[in-house]
Amino acid sequence: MRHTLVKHISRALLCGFALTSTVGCKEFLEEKAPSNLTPESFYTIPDHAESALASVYASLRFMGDGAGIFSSNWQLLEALTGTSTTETAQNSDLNNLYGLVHDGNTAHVVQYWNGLYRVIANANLVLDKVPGITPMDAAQKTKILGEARFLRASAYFTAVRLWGDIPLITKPQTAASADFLPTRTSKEEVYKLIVEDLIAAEAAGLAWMDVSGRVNLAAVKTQLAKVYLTMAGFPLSKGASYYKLAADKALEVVTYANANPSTINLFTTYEDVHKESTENRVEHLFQLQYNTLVAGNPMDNFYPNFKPVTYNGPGGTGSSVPTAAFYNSYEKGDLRTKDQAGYFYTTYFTNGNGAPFDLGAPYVFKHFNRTANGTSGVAGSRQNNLNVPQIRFAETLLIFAEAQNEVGGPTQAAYDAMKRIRDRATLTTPALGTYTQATFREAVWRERWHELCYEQITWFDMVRLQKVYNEKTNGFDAFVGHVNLSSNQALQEKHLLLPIPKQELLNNPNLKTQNPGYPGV
Amino acid sequence: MKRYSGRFSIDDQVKSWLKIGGTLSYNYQTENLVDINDAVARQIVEDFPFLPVRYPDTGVFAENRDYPYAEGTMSSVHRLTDRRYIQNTQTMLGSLYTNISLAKGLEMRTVLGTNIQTQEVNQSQTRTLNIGGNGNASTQNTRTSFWSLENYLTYNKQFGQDHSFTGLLGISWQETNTFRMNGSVSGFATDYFGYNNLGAGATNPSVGSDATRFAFNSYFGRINYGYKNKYLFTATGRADGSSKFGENNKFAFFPSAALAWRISEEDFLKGNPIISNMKLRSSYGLTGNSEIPPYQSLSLLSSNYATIYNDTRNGGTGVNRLSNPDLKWEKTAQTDVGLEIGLFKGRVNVELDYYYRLTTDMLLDAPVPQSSGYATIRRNVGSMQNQGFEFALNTINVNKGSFSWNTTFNISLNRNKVLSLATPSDIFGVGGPNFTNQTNIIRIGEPVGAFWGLTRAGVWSEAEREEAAKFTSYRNGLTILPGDIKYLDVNGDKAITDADRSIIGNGSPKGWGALTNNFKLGQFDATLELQYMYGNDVMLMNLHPSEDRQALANSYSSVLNAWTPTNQGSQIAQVRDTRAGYVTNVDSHWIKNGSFLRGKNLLIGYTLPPAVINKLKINRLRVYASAQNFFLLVEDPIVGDPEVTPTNQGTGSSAFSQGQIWHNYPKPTTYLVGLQIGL
Repeated sequence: MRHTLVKHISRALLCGFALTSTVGCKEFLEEKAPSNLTPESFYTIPDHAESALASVYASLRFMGDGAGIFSSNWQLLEALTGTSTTETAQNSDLNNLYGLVHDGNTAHVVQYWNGLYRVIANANLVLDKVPGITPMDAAQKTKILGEARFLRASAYFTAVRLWGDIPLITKPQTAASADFLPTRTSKEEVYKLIVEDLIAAEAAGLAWMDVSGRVNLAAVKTQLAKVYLTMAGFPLSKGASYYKLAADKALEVVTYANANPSTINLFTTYEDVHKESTENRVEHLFQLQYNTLVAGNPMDNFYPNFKPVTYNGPGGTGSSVPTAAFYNSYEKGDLRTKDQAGYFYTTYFTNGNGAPFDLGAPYVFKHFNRTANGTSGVAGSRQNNLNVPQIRFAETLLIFAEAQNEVGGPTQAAYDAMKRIRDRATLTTPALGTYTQATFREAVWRERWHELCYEQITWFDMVRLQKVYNEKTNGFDAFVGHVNLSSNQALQEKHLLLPIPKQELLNNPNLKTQNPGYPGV
Repeated sequence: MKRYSGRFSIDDQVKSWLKIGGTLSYNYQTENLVDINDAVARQIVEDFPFLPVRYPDTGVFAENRDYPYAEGTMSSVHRLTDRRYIQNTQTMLGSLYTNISLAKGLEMRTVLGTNIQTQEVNQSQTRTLNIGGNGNASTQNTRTSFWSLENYLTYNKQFGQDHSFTGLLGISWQETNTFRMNGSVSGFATDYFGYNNLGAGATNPSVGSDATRFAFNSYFGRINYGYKNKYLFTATGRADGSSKFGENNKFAFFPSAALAWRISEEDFLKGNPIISNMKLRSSYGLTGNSEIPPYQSLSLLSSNYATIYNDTRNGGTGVNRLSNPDLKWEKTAQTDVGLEIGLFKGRVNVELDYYYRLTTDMLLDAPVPQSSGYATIRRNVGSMQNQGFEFALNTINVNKGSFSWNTTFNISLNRNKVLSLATPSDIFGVGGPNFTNQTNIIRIGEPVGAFWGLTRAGVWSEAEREEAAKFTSYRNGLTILPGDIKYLDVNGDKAITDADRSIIGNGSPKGWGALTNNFKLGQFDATLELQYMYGNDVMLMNLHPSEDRQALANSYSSVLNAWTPTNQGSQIAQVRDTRAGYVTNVDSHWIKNGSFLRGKNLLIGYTLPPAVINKLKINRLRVYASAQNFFLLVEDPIVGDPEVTPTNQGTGSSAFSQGQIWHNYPKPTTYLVGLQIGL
């Protein structure tokens, strides 16, 4: 330090004596940030590729970031479904989502857009820079590129389902980039990139499962199956050939799982679905990784409103709680509705491990971490390291069942896949012969609603099917006109897409039009 | 707070043509800040008044969180007792100069200055206060080293009787280096250590460091010319260079010129019995602003994208900042016209000034299309104007024998307006705290940072039951009822959304100033200083927790006037159990008149008469007593003190937060008794 001070002063003195122009003293005003790298000074060795990829994984956590008071971004995908409501009204953006009057200023909408494109930007950096790193082990390079392509595809898959035609950015951006002010690319083109990315990821040499929490082959194949299934439905409506693709792809995972039941399987208990010790294993094909070393589990807006269910006393907000109607729509005897044994709880232990008390209503147990919060007689660890599930094998089975049924009616394999979900819930399933293609279709959908609820999946089912589960009739309503029982508001045509964030429309005139039905700029 | 300081200086005329000197000072300060955010000030309001501080049987702090359905907060006393926040600052200031006379009237002065500051921020919370972490502690150390070197030549010359001339030519360098490191940990088995043994913590140890540097380089010159002491002319020019700007725009040139005419020196006014002094002056000048953090023009990656594999932390590097090689100085052109008049041999002095300031190339983080993966780019976003009028009056009202009375009055008026923005959208995300909604907006044609929100039209009445029910629920999905807050539905869609928000206030005052009276009677003296401000709005964020959501904690007593079927005219919603739902938004009801009149100082002194003093063999002895901030008048007492700025810890407040009130500590009233001794 002292040395540099002296050096700078003497240089300044020299310049001073020169008393002429800035030439020669230019260095004095040059900038080099000591705590940040630049794109030019990075991406030279394999460790840099790993570090670049880690930033893509890290960016996925945007879904758990706050969206104003008492709310998180992920509530975007719950509030609209009508399966949950709130016990607090502090957050006007969240209120507007529940009331289906969200617009281009709604924080959750804006932050989902921003968060997804941040994932895409970091993935684009990996895909642009890593190929140029030499020397680098070819297998490692392929694997990293494969993971980045899966993550980019997943971000685009979410974005295209939320907004339809969207900017398709595939290269790192500067303010001078030609597509810095991009136009909207058709859904068709976006899906093309998603499929390409996932096919490349499939061929990247990933292991079937990866307990470290990184992308694995089972996740890639299930995601690809889900993309095909979505393409078969709305809005692309590609129909039978894509149901076939979806069924075949999902079947690859089911077949592997049947042959390796200790590697991929359904958990035997629902407790295992939300337990730290079973993360990234068996049923959890892909999860967002949380650990308080970096960030703790972000799902606590599912906790009841100021009732002492954790070591931390009355801390929850209750801003996402199940509607009574949805809870009551499960079949009688469904294990998933049993207090603390399924996906709900109606009692818990005071401050996590004290005397049991009645919660007065069912709450979401699916993301509840007994280890951190405490359980009967055992104090909580206070470190909520529970991951957030993204792809479970239960969904793989249901994708297969649904897609296979569309290819040619319920087969034994499709029936078995759905039955495994119901068996775990201790439900009896009518014999295969009692189903028609139509009744089996609805049976699988119903199972999706009840098995995959509160995992940010249901909304996308509503959009791709343009059908919504009716908790009262146990049947399915057309999307348009279905009344969300959380707010008694009816879904409209416009709700099939989210509004483009208003600031984005203003700052990028090339986007031109708002999605139909929403206020423009 | 404790402070220790020492100072040393030396001056020496080494040769007839050379003078050298220097100063060295050291200052050590330790501050016990305890509560650096809103927590205690807010909790004082929200603590249930029926609770004791501690339960008598167990000695445990009694807190709101002991009550289900109350917000799970810790009591104010618990927070004050169990949180430590100590800031230690050491400052070493040094300077060295040489003055060299090169010729008659020509001098070269060289000044080398340094300022080295180290600051520690040490924090800890006990296990009962920080339940989640089981106690935590952190320390942060920042070292800031600054040095500057200035060289300038001055030349003074008087030509004959009438012409005086001063010229100055100079060059300067400045550099600031900052290095910061911090560590934190939680999970302590005891509260004994506080922050004194971070190694004893078990959970989530975390470390960080960062370094920054910025530098300035300037070339400047000045000419003063005076003719018969009647006409005065000054011109300056400076080329300032800052490392913070883009490769192509490090330097900018800032000229200025000033003219003054001492009219009272003219023959027609000389010796005028009424006008003893009159001076007309005007100036025009360009100044620069570079108050932004360094490295804002560079394309940078962030290496703070940590992720988790195998439940261990993995560092990640990804996008962070877009480069802007064109980033340049913010410039303000100011035109000023002023008139000074002295009447009746200086017994009445008046000063009038008008200014117009045009700020161009304003430096802000401007939003970009986020499809790029970036949120903002630092750029020169636009322009704004400030124009104002300043008036000062000094009078000697009485000066007779042993009694004198002087009065000083001043008033400043300023109007601010955003003229242009380079971004197509309004700029949000400024001001704050904005934990419920956006609070401030930068929009063309409006004052910068105007308040933004819904308009509260009152509370729905029984007669409006049917109309209220037509609204899309903004309360837990439940039907809107009489007793719920009623907002102005600007676009008439029967839903309350962002489309219904508008500008609802402005934190900048229309005018402000002070009135001071000094009295002297014999050995007694007295001063009365009043301060005022008017036309400024405040946004009372406190109404969110303390009026809008009434049942989670204690509230302001104003909720006693809440809506009831027999009190339908209230602006405050019906008091209900929290779970029955309530509504809160940044709205016009939170906007209050921030005008105030403050008793800034009242002082009475007595100086012992010379006879007594002489006996004591001292020069002077004065005793005095004063009351500072001894009263405050505001329109609505709920506002408290409108002159505070929001606490800035984690609540997003900024330079645009003027007038936002969020549980600050009010200015204290200070009573002072003093003794002045002159030896």
